[in-house]
Order: sequence, then structure tokens, then C-alpha cells
Amino acid sequence: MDNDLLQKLRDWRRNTANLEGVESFQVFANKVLENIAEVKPSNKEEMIAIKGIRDRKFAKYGEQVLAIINGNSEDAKLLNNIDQVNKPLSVSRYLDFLNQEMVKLQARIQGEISSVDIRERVIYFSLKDSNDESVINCLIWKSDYNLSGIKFEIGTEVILEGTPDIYKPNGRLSFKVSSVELVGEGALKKAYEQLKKKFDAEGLFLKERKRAIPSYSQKIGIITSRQGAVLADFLTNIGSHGFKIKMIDSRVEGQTAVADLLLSIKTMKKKDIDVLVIMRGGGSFESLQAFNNEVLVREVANFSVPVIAAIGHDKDVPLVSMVADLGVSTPSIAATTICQSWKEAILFIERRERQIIDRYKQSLEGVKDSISKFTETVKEYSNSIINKYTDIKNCLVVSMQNFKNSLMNIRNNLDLSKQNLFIDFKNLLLKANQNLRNSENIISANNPERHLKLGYSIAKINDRIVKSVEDVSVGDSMDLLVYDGEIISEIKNKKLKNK
Amino acid sequence: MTEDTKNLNQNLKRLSEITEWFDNQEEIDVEEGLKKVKEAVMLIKVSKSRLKEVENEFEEIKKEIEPEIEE
Repeated sequence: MDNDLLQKLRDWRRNTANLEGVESFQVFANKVLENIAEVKPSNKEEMIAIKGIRDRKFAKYGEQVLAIINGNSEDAKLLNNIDQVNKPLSVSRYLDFLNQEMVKLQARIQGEISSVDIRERVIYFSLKDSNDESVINCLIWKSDYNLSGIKFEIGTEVILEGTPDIYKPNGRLSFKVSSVELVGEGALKKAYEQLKKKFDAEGLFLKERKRAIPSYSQKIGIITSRQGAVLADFLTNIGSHGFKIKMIDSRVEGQTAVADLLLSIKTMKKKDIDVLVIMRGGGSFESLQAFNNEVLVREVANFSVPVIAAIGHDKDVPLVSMVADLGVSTPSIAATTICQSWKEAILFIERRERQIIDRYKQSLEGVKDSISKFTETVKEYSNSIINKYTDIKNCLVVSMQNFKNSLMNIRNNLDLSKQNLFIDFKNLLLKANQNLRNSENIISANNPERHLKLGYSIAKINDRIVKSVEDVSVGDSMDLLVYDGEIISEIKNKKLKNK
Repeated sequence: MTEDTKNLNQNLKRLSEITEWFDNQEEIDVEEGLKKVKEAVMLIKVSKSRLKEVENEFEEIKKEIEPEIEE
């Protein structure tokens, strides 16, 4: 690839974009410019064959681009001074050549602004030498002017950085300014205080705006200069927690760092990061000017993820540090801030582990205790039940015994009664027997037959037993019953016994 | 935030919740407690392994001189 050509194409693109008031990529994308520098198309067909260039683009920029490519190949001849005798250059070609050569003459110049003419896209002004009144015409694109954060006023002393350039339509030489900075601590300090006041009024420094640096951040964006110990300091202190660190090397010194820092921030904005760290080692108030730039401060304030600013400083805190979500003084503090949550997490987990396990152990102990208590209670209950049962059993045994006893008693009684009964009965029988015998004796003693046998007889008259003399009359027929029959007799006489 | 740090964050939060649960219980339901202890042990294990030393990745990226937008 022709790097020289690519640089020329880039310069052309930047100018064109500034003139049109558009972003550079809207003219041609990076890739397209690189392809042009690679292919070096010499006509429309070849150019349209490049991806990203169509009819519309060609119609707008085709001729200019082809001229640059052609010019580039002719420049070599120019430098070699070939053909100049026979074929003089046109004014236009020569000015093109001069401008291309003068890009190499970049310079920093200091002076006092002596006139200002602010246009829509560009500011024309002149810079006067403070000693001998020499003057150089200058111009600065409006976008660069805004970026500088400096208000151009006649008499303001500034340092300009840029390259000389001849404006072809009038052949005027101007110093094309890429960056501008104020001169002298006093002026810088004044601008700083003004801006600080402005941001303060806007509430940009308010605590409520600050976002917490996220715990367990893993994707870290770093913008800093590769030079110096800052990056090493940071990396030494961040620890090994599997961080994914994306670093952009940026200029951090002086006013010219602003554009670089802005580009870095813009690039970082598109990266997937959890936190952005902007770092710079300590420096004088003047050397930290970039970090007091209004545009940069606003970019930091509006950055998509929390920003840590680690910018070493003296008395005056850089505005970027003030507006950042966290402003610290050294890269090591920034690093330890980020890894703090990781370190704490380990302690946190160990503490939680202890708490949870201990607490559960405790509760298990408690449960064990209450289980043994329950067991005790159940034991007591069951004991009391067994006791009751024993009591009841005993009662039962006693009552059974009682019952048995009473049964025995009854039986005994019965036996006794039976005996008594027998005895009584026997007695009765004996008595009856006795009676009978007595009766028999009586009866036998009184049996009339016995008397008859003994010789007694029974006298009857008309079946009436004669007991007295009175019962009979002489002549009566009287029957005499004797032992073995009857004697019928007649009464012949009767006599009363002498008394 | 990456998936595993998000998980780490959630794990630690969950551990706090479990701790709080234990602290707030007058009487711990042993079954419920066991469930929580099991969960906690798992979370602790996962988190600890995440918190082990892991090498950092470092990448230097280039500024995009001009933002790229394809037509």
C-alpha cells in the first residue's frame, strides 16, 4: 500500500469533511481510502470497482481523488526535477505540490491573537508576534476551535499547533491550526476556574450524579499513555481475578492530547467494558491541561459506564477527575478499588459460610435438644401410663382377690348351711322318729285290743259304749265285745258301787 | 457485565439472603434449613472456584481514527 498516498487521501478527506461540515467517514470510510491507496485507480471504471464507491460518490469526489492519485505519481518526478525545463508546472499543480510538502512542516508557534473572523465552518484569525509585530494568517476549523475550549479574543496569548497551507484561489498562506492552548499559568488558571464554575452550576460535580464502581467488574477499559510507570503500577495492583483489560495508548500531555483522548474515549464507548479508567501520572497544572478541556470533561461525564479518573495532580484537581464517578490520585488506588470487591467477596463467602453452617448446626443442636426433651417427656408419659396400668392391675388383682374371697365366703357359708341343714334335718328326723316311737308307744299302750286280750271288754247298747250304770236299764240287750268276738247279753240287775 | 460475574453477584446476594433467613428464624425448620444449607454450599463452592486466581487478559486496542460506518 502507498502510505504516502494514503496520508494525502486522509488529509484531503479531513479538509473535505470540514468544508462540508460532516464527519470524515461520511466522505469515505477508512477501508475505502485504504483500498484506493492500494488499487490506485486511474479511471472511473477502476474506481467504481472498489467496494464502497458508487456512482453518487464518484460524481461527488471522483475527479478530486483521481487528481490526488495522478498528482502523487507526478510528485516523484517533481522532486527529481525531471522534465521541469521542458514542461513547466501549472500554478495549481505547483500549489498542490507545495501544500503537500508543507504538511511536513508542522510547528508550534506562540503569539497574541490580533484579529478574529468567525465563520460558519472556519475561523480566520491572525497571530501577532509579541515582540516585533510580525503577523501570520491563521485558520482553524470550527470543530477544532470548539474542541479547544478557548474563546478567541484579541489580545489572548496562545500557542498554536499546525501546518502552513496555501489557499489556492488567492494564493494566501495561512497557518492551519490543529490545536490551540492558552499561554501562562494565570490564563490557564482563569479558564480553569471559569469552566469549573460553569460545570458546578450545571450540577456536573454533584454526588448524586456519581455512579458506583460496579462490584466484580471484569471488563476494564484503560486509557493512558504506554510511556511511564502508570500502566505497570495499575497492572501490578489489580490482582489476578480474570480481568479482561482493554487498553488504548493515548497522548496525555498538553493540549494536543485532547483530540487523542477524545478518540480513545469514543473508541472505548463502543467496547464492551464494565468500567473505564483514565490514567495519567502526576504533572504540573499546565501539563494536565487536556484534562480540563470542556469537551473531554463532558464526554467523561456522559460516558456509558462508570469512569475512574486516576490523574496525579497538585493543588487544582483536574476537571475530568472532578466529573468522573471516582477520582483518585494514583493508578494503584484505581486498581485496588476495582479489585476490592473481588478480595472482599472471598472474605464475604467465608463469613457467610461460617454463619450459615453455624446457624444450622445450632438449630440442629436445638432440634436434638428438643428431641431428647420430647423423648424424656414421652418416657415420663409412658412411665406414668405403665404406672397407672400397674396400679389398675394391682387394683384388679385386689378386687379379684376380694371377689374370690367373697366367693369363698359364700361357698363356705353355703357349705356351712348345707351342713346345718343336714344336721337340722337329721335332728328333725330323729325327733320325728322319737315322736313316732312315742306315739307308737302311746298308741300301743292304748290299743283296745291289748286291753281286750287282757280280759277287758267293751259293753255297748245300741252301739253306745256303756260307761255308767246309768247307761243301762234292766232288760236291755247289751253287746259285750271281747277279744275274740261278741257276747249278746241281757241285763238282769244293776247296782251302784258303794261309795 | 459478564455472565459469570453477574452470577457471582447473584450468588453472593443469594448467600446474604440465606444468611438473613437463618438470622431471622426464631425456630429453624430443619428440612427447610437443610435445603438452604445445601444451596448455600453449592453457591459457596461455585463462587470460590470463580474467585480463584485467574490470569488477566490484556489487549491493547487501536483508536479508531475515524468511526467506521459501511455504506
